[in-house]
Amino acid sequence: MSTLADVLPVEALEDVGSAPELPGADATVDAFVRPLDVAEVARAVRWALEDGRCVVPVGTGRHLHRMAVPRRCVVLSTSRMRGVETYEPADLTLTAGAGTPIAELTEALAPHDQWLPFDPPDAESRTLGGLVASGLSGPLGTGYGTLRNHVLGATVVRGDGRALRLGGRVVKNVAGFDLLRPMVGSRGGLGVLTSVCVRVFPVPQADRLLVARADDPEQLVAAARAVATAPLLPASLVLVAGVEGHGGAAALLVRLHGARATVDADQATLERCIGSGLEVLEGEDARVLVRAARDHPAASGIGLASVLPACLGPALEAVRASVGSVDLAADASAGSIRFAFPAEAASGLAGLREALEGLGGSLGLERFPADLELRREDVVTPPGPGEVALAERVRAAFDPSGVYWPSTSRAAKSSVVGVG
Amino acid sequence: MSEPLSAALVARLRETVGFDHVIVDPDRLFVYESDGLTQYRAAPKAVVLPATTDELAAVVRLLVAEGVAVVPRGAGTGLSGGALPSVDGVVVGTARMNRILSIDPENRLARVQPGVVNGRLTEATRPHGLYYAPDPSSQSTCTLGGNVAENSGGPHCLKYGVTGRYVTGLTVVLGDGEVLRLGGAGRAPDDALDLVGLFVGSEGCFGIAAEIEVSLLPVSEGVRTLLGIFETMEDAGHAVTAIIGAGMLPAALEIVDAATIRAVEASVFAAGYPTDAGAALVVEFDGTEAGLDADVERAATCCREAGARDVQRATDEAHRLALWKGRKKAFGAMGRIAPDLLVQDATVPRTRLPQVLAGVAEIGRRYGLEIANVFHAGDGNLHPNIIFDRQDPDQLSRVEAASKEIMALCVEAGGTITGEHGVGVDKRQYMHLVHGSDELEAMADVKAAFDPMGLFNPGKVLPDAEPRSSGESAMVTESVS
Repeated sequence: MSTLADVLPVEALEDVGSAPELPGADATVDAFVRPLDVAEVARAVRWALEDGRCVVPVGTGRHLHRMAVPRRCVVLSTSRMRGVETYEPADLTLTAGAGTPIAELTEALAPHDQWLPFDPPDAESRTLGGLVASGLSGPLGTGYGTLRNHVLGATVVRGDGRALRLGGRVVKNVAGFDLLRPMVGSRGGLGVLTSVCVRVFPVPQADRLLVARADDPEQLVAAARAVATAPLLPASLVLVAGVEGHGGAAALLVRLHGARATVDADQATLERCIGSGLEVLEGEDARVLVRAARDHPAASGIGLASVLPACLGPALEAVRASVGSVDLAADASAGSIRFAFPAEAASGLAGLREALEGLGGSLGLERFPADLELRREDVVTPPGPGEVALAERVRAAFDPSGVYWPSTSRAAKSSVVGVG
Repeated sequence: MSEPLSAALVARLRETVGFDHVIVDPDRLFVYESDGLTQYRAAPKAVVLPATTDELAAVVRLLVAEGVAVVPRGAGTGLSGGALPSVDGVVVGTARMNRILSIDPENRLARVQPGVVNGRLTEATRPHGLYYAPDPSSQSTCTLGGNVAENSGGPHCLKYGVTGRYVTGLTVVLGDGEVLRLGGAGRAPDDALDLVGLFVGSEGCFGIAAEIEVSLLPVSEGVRTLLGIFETMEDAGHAVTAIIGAGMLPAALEIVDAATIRAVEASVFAAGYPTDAGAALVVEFDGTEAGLDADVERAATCCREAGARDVQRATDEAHRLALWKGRKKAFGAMGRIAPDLLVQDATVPRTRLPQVLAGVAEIGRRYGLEIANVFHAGDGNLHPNIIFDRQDPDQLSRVEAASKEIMALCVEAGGTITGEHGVGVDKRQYMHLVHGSDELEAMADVKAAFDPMGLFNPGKVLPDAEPRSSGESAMVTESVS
């Protein structure tokens, strides 16, 4: 039996003790590798496959709290596959290593007045590959479309160690089945992303934040719905409560992007829709508020309630009734509510799941308190039964031996991997 | 010709969908022999037209149980032979599944059956101040089920994106007749894969969409259209680069070349474009009324600085439609002057457009073929149109060779072999230009996850399987694309 040192250069081998801690009770990290490129990833994956170990792909490793790793594994960090590979400002496309931090991409884009309009929690510190694997794009999806629509290409090492070059670097591409699409949000379960090409966008001339405040979020639901059905598309529409920077009260944050004249006119339209004046912020003041609403609070649990946007009011009530008066940020256009909860409130989750499913929605968990008696699968909404079976067949098509987690969830359905 | 369907199977299909909706009469089958790419023809064993999801699933179960291939068909406007019948298969058409099931203005969603015509959905939602964004050129006849299968684009997808962006949920019938709901707005199940995104663009090879949920957009308050006339294609290209470089995001950026302008102006569709111009550029902005004049002014400046000899701005709706006419009627006009017209489709990174267009022209000269270009310049999606006469075998072989070189040129420039028409049967031979064997095998593996028996649209997309069109009924051999 070969050792990892036989297949990877010494620079790619890290001390196991320095690997991110895996929360699963049975997790044993056998090795921690940081491959330099796709060839080294392929060698590491083939080695793990032959040796009966699973591979846990890790970006920054910050979302490992979502995982429970059931058996011996190799933690594979993408952090050395870092840097911009090609950037054509005039094409509005950028390709970079999967381990490149978003902050580094933002820096590369800024001199050309371009940016990535994705604002998931803690966006800057995520890696490009982790962002794609998480599938989170944040409330800016309202104005720009979500991340899934802007990933143009990727290189992925599938479960048998073969590298796939999916998509390309053009905006329109229908040359064959779209194997790239399920990579977005695959959470490391279909393969290791080593390189990603994304569409980038021009920085808008004006970025204006309009704020309406109230004591309770329920008082702002009608205004949020009025904006969501107004004859215009804001960049984002977020209802927050209890979030730092808002003094614990509730606020509706509407972001308008575009030419200054457009933003002025849209603001006037919104004031007519809501029937009152809005506080106007630009620059650093706006950034602080937007960021406070965007980032994950330091709570032990974070849930994600999803419903149709028109059900935002009842969903909000259900969240507050089930887990108490919590910190929350709702994307009022998408109909999703991200809420923080302390471990002692977790007993309300099962009831919340029932209430949300009764509204035709779902409950997911972004962060799960590790020391609970509660089982994760009892509180999250699974995909439909037929969908689960089909998803497993698709996972098996990419990863027939189940080398990646959560493809091993076929054997141990106890948790979900997040790669960030 | 292969064995006809058994009388027992025909009888059971007729019990399922009604006698008249199972077509086996050769005279009536004739219209189903090809799609929009008429170079390929094959007679199916039968055409079955279900009206409901249950009927569709029952039909698929009956066919699959007998090992009969299923070829899904929408309106048959596809340009890659995706709906070309399989001679040992049955065409399952969605023409009767044409109901809009619901329009939900509160959530900006609509649910439709697959046979609903694209343009009809926009008409139906407009009273609510909403519309369906993807607008392929065939939108007055193409169906949403076909759009899902092809992941269709259109001139306005530069700003708004293609079909996949708007499909939020699907009910699909898979290879074993199973009816599955995938995705759906308002739900984000834990640990779900994006199966909807994977299904969109699967060209009828994974299954048939029986119900489609799409998101709608608010109708833009205003729209402005500008036409720039240039001495050379290169100048028009520079104008496009300048507009994008200035941070503007037009709803559409379309270029019509000199050969196309001459064809349009010589036809009944004459739009008043000057016939000595090198290229015409149509730029359209939409959105909040207040910002549009400034956008148009900036774009006009970009055009003039790039050397435009004339810049016209539409002053009213009639004028706007007139400016668009030369672009929209391009294919129709060329169809009239040419015995046969091959509408090619490929995408390159936008910055490579000038180099690729020069290359396409050189290929045309070398093969003695007239190639006219109409394209979505904003997203680098080219449509080189080759004029030819299929009765002339020498021309046919030159068209074949030139097409292949154009595809190779686009791939070399960092592009791909199709931006919106799909692979179908026509471009299978070029799949090796963009994909290695590992990628093609992965595609086959994923198809098998949806369609384990391989009965959905066999002989399409993947190059390994042989096309099943019969030799005697194909008017032009497979090598001509």
